[in-house]
Amino acid sequence: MDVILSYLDNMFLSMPKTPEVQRAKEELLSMMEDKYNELIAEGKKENEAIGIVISEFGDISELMEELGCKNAGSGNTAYGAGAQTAADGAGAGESAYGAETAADRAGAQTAADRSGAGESAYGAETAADGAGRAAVKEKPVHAMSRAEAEEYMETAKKSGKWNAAGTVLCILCAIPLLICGALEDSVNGYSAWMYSETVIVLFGVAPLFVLIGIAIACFIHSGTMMHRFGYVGSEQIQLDASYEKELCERADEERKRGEKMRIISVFLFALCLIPLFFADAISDDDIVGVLGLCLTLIFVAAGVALGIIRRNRRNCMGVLLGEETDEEENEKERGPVGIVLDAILSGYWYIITAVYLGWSFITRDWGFTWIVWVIAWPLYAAISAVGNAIDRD
Amino acid sequence: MIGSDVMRGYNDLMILFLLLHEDSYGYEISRQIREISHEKYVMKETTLYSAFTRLEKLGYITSYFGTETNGKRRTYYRITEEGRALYREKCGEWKLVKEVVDDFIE
Repeated sequence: MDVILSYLDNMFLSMPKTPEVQRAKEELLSMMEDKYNELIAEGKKENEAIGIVISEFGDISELMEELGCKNAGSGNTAYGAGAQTAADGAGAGESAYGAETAADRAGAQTAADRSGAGESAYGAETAADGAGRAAVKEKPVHAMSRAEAEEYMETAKKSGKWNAAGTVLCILCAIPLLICGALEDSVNGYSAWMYSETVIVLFGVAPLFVLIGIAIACFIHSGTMMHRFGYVGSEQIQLDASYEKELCERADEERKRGEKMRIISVFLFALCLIPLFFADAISDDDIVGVLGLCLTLIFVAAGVALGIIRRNRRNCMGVLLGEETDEEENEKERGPVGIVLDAILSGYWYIITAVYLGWSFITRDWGFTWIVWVIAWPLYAAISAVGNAIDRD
Repeated sequence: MIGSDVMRGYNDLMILFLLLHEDSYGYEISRQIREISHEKYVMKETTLYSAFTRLEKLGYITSYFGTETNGKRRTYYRITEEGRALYREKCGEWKLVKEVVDDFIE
């Protein structure tokens, strides 16, 4: 709750202390409290709830124009200019409702202007920084409000989850087929075979394609979600100083949590073969073996999903703070070998999926081909490590 | 999810609609908008409060303090006759906008 209160205090810092403004602040706090309490009641974690509340707060300049605070922007020049123009637009015809459209139009206009104005204002600042930061990175600067940044991180997390979901589906898609195959083997006789052939197509092959279809949809959805944040990563993000500090602390916490997730996923990889051997030991029955294999696949899928989610969480904060992600760090020392490797690695998971499906369909050895996933992860790390080592020499 | 830029101009309609049958307060309205739109539209707090201020200033809604059972003091909003008239006007306007835009949709 304190975080929300101090966020609101910060937002209202440059506003005059009129009764109207005071009332607005109280009302907003009340709404945010209600939302926070409901999110907690729904079972959200505290920082998650705070993140959502803040990301849905909106744009303070919108309120400034409504309350008629003309000299609004001591902290953020870009917003100040925005509020100014919009307030002027509204002032043109205040009494009639029709004026609202004018204000709206001005508002929309300024919203478009804002990015431009912000860029030049901050651009000048960075130029003054000169020798320091700006010399290292010559990226265009993008001023990002706290709300935008929170929204970006929320979206990035969601996108990571969709990505992980897609990958999990790719790994697990063969399970119905495996179970059908095992059941077929335990049914004998010609007519039974005819029957089970249909069953296999219906309950094994069809779900396989459906699951892959859903997985592809997940990947696409995950990608399109992030489209509107295309500037993050290619432009330098400028955050409010106090917010940046807070974000640094949160990133540290995230890193600790990330370590835990990493340990769990390594643990899952280490354990993944146990169900398989266990099933083999307790029974000769095909169906038991297959169920063991399914468990193994689930372990692998969980490990891979955790890995993707962890990387995604860490990277989305890192990008905002201007830290270099793993990929960028490697990029700096890229030689010819590295560039070729990058090309391969960018399509790596698609290739792996293709290899897995191709191999499985040709050999029909679904009981073995899952090993592709277990090999794929260490191999990924190995390829990039080798590439870097060669380039450095 | 729809951005608030697209919704500009129709936020008022949603708020007035929710006040047609009973008085309500800030978060309740925000929650209902999310629910009725099946989470496709979440009205930002600043947008909502700006709309309240504007509508009140222009006489379309009035506000009063009410107390919840848990003792929290809340500002409730009530729609006025002018507000109801505006709601109907906005509905008509939307139908027209919809017709016009629809003509350009493949």
